[in-house]
Amino acid sequence: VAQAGLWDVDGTGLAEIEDATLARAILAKVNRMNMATGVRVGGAVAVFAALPHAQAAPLVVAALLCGALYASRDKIPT
Amino acid sequence: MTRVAVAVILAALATAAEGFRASSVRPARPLARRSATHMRLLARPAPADDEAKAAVATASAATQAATDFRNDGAFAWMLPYMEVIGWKPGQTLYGAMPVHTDATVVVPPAAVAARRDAAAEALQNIGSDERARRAQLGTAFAAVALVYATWASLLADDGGLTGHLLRLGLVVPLFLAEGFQVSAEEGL
Repeated sequence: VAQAGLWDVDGTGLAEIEDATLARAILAKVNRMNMATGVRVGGAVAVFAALPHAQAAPLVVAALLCGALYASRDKIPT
Repeated sequence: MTRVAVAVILAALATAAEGFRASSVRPARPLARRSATHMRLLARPAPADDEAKAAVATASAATQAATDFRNDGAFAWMLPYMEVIGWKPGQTLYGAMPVHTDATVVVPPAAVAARRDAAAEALQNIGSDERARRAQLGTAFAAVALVYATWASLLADDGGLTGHLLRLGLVVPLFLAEGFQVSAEEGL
């Protein structure tokens, strides 16, 4: 919504950011965030896709283990 | 003979340079696309020198900065789609999707002002409820990405080009997972 100079911060729904300088600052921050996210994810997936099958499969098994540990956090009594 | 040849070459170079200069001059934008500030500048008498021109340009830029919001960023191409999707005043974000704002909920003006001030100070454009929803979406899409990666790598990958392309498809759920997570953290 920053692309249109809007925000939704006060509980009254989407509204125009009246201060154009602030709207531009938020837009710049959003654009930087989107670019950084795209580069990070694109790079990681490109490397993952380029790996040979024999190396990608163990990586996914490791990711599954990490995912299972994350999902079980706070659920195992100590 | 040599002088004649040199003169011919010089004339040809001059013609070519003139042609290049003429082709490199940018055509003026149509009047309809010029901003109101630009039109006011056009109506003014021409400044006496470069310094005056620079002063006028600076003042104009400052005036425009205070009153106009114009998106000329890398994602400005999204603008035409935003109103179609429904991201416009009168709607509320719910997991990044627009829903009708609940008119029965009345927020005191003082709370509205305080929340806007806090958001402005932190350079954020979504509230705490929406941030929590996006964090949940980020986790959900991370699970989807993991399931997809498992299927693509362990079940569908035949060791050939198809396997690489299938794994490349991970970019969609992973981008959504990371995007929602970062959005929740940053409040953007």
